[in-house]
Amino acid sequence: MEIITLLKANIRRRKGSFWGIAILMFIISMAFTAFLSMQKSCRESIDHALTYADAPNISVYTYDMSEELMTTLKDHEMVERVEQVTVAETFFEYEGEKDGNSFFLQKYDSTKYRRLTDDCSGYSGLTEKPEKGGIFVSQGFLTRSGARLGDTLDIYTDYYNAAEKPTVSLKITGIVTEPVNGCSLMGWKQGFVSDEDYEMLLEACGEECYIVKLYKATDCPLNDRKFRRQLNLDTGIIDKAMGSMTREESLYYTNLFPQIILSILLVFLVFLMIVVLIVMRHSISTSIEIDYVNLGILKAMGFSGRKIRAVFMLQYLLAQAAGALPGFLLAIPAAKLFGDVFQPITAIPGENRIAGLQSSLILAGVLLVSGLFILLSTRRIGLLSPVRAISGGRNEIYFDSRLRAPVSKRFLSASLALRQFTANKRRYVGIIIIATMLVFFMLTVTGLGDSINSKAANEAMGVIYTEVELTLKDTEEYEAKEREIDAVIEKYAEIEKKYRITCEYISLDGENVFCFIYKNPEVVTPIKGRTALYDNEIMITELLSDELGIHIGDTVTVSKGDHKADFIVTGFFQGTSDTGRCFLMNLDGVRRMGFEDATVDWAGYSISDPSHCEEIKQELNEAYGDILDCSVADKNVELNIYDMAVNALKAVIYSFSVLFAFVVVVMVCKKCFQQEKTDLGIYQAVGFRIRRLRLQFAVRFLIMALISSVFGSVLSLLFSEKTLTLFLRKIGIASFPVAFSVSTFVLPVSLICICFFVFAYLVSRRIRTVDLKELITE
Amino acid sequence: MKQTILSAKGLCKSFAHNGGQLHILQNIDLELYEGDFTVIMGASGSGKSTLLYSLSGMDRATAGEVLYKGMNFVTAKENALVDLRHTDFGFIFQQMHLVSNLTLFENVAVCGYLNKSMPAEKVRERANELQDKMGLSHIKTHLPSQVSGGEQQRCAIARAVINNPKLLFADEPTGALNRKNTTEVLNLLTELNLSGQSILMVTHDLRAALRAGRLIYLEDGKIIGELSLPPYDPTEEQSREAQVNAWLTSMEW
Repeated sequence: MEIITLLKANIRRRKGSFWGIAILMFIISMAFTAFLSMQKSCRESIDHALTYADAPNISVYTYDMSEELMTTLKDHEMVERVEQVTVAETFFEYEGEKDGNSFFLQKYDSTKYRRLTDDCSGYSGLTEKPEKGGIFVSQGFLTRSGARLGDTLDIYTDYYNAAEKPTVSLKITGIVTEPVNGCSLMGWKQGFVSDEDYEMLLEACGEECYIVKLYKATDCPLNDRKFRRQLNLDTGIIDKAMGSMTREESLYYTNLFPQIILSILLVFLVFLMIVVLIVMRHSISTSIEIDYVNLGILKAMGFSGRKIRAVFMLQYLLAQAAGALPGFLLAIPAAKLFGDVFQPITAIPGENRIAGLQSSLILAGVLLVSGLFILLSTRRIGLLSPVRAISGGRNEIYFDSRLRAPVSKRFLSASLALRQFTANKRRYVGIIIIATMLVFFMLTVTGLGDSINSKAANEAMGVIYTEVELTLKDTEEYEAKEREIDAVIEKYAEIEKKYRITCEYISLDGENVFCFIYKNPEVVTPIKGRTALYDNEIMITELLSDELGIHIGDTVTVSKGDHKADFIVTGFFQGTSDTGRCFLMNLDGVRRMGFEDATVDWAGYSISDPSHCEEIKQELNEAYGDILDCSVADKNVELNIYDMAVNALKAVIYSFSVLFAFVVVVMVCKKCFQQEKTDLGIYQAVGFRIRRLRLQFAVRFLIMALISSVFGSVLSLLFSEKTLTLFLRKIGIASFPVAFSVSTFVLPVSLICICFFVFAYLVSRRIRTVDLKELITE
Repeated sequence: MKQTILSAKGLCKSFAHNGGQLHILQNIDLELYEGDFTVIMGASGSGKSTLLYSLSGMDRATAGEVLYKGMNFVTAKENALVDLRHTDFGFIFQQMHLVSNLTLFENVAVCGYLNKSMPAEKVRERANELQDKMGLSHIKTHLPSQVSGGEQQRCAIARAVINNPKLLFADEPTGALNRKNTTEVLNLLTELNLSGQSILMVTHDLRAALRAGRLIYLEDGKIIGELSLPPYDPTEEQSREAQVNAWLTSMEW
């Protein structure tokens, strides 16, 4: 009973701390539950969509499908069943821009590919097939291409006949979920057309293309990737194919981006939880200081240190629970509200799952850790001597500080603020740590955004960043006139880098891997080892090295179809295609494998002044239209999506930081105010105006924000790259060079400084309430 | 004829208490004169400190007026009163109230810095001069927590007079001091008064009261007696004490 009485009194007297902690926990609990629920919802919706679409364990895209191979596959012990869908491999053009990725068209099957409502907010329940002249596409296709429902796509069955008429123009009349390739980050897409258009396009294509769907036997112990590798080794199906995709890969790639964003946010929340612990510690230690005499009296009355500590623990745990519970409940509508935020990327409606159990367990863990933390923070109470506490309390003793800056008339407020800060450095350590963490996170996410928008950083990340792209109709002729063509471009802008690449899926020791084939491998900068310049050399990414256990100097077998050869790994390069699961070889290497006629029919130019792109395009197409098709590359689709997501991430982290800065500054200010009430009274009594005292108070917090900004910036320079690389390895970036510039620091640092200054100034309104009579001793 | 420096007319101060009104000061009329050392005495709860703070503008009276240079403290703007504290008035408190994170020298100088008419160099000069006078030169870089109560109070006096106030208010300045320190502080105040400083002091201490030229006795918020004394002379302390004692006895102290 006595504990409850004390508890009630403490809460009543320290309402500010109680509600401050409750608000911080409310934010954390709501965000934690909402983010975990979104993570669960994303993953499950993709998984369910794959199941609904009866997605195979391996989808193989191939032209080469003999009856013999089909029989071998069907008879394979690890294969349960095989389905073969004949598709038309086409290319589409939207608003004059042609997409270089294959666009596989097939008949619509409503039992596998569910129709979405026109605004993509859910499933429509419609089952009608597309009419002649119509096409159903995935939402990811729309995000990627920029097309909308009702727009028309020009379909080509031959990529190089851009100057000719399209085979057919199809109007987008429906949006469907296509979970295998539907994600907006995947290049290859599937579309669904009417039976008539399908037949017509198949005929126009001339050559038949197949999607071979391979279903793993239920007793097969291998995962999808190993199953594909084994099947390829046994039958060679993957070597013969254009490419393949496993069910696990579909799930991984589709869920990848939400996963990265939510992981960053969850880590940020863990840091915010540390902020709450620091705030609690600050609140506890100042409460002990302020209540030193009262604590002594309680001890003298017979309260044991353990009981008093129990009161503290209950008080803060109650505050946490008071925030966590409504936060948890409010996360349910919040998760529903934001559940579809990743839909433009995943192209699958979220399922509004709530990670109730997982969140509850985490929140319970948080309370447990907090309880232990409170016990540690209140150890001083156990050591408190009632006699010493009652006889005059624990007066603050200030020791000489080497940081004692002079108090000057010219900068009176600032110098007094600095003195108040240096005289109580320990009191502010916690708040500096908090602000440092906030600055670090804001800088890291700003650096991430700046890097995504920076050409140099993109190139360093392995993104092939070109503004002018040439699709070569006659490679031989282009190579003969290459200098002439380069000179045309150089008339307008300097050529910074030129890429001659083509891409293929090629097997590396039986593993189907994305491969860059370079005509000019010397443009590749190795991150380790050296560039693969000779015909028996290849380079791999660090991520592929980790996955396949291949190292620099190793010999590997590279195979495609019936051709194979051994190559030496000469180095690591940075590549983001297929989330870093890629390797690189030169054209001579491909020829050595037996593809004597192989060519590289694409050239990309990175130029110094992209504003001249349109003029270059016009001149090249006019002068060399018979040998090439010049196009201006819009910013990479992936980069646009990354940019959009990073901006959202920035918004969340900045808002949370401001909110936390507000609550923390308010709480700490209130405590400082209680501790310094007498000093504030003295200042007023000797003639300081309230405005000046408020300014002094705010300047002190500004000083803290500035110190934190310096620490946060140093931390960011040291660890931001490492932190981001940790997350971005998932998309193939093994080393993320953050493009720090002065502008990267300006916004986060000014924001945190302004917030600290303004919030402290606002809270210091309470100085008005200092009654000078408190200085009077009756 | 002495010049009036500050006057109060019909000064009342009351608080709401248990649904009624508690009258702390009742209709007080009082004039303070230039160069006077005035002491207010009275039993605990008689309203001495409330009167001191109402007269100094640190607290506002409920009714009546406090006039200083044509300004009525009861109706004056807060900032005008604040400015008076570093231009015309000085304050000494029982608990010294030095800013804990400033050195003794800085505690004195910081008030001088508020005075716009005094350049920083002059402030430092005067602060040094005052600290010499108060015998604090050797500890001027010490923090309040590192010096004795008497030294703190001497520093508080130096702070109170750095801006050459017209009137010095002292609220039980010796209340927290031992005998030796009390004498030192009282000597300083006497010295200041003899050099022309007007002082209004509240005290319980008979020894402190002996330094005054004018004694006012307060009871239940009303002035019930007043005694004038000749300027303080330490050689006549015994006869002065007897006179004050007799007067206080007549006030039923």
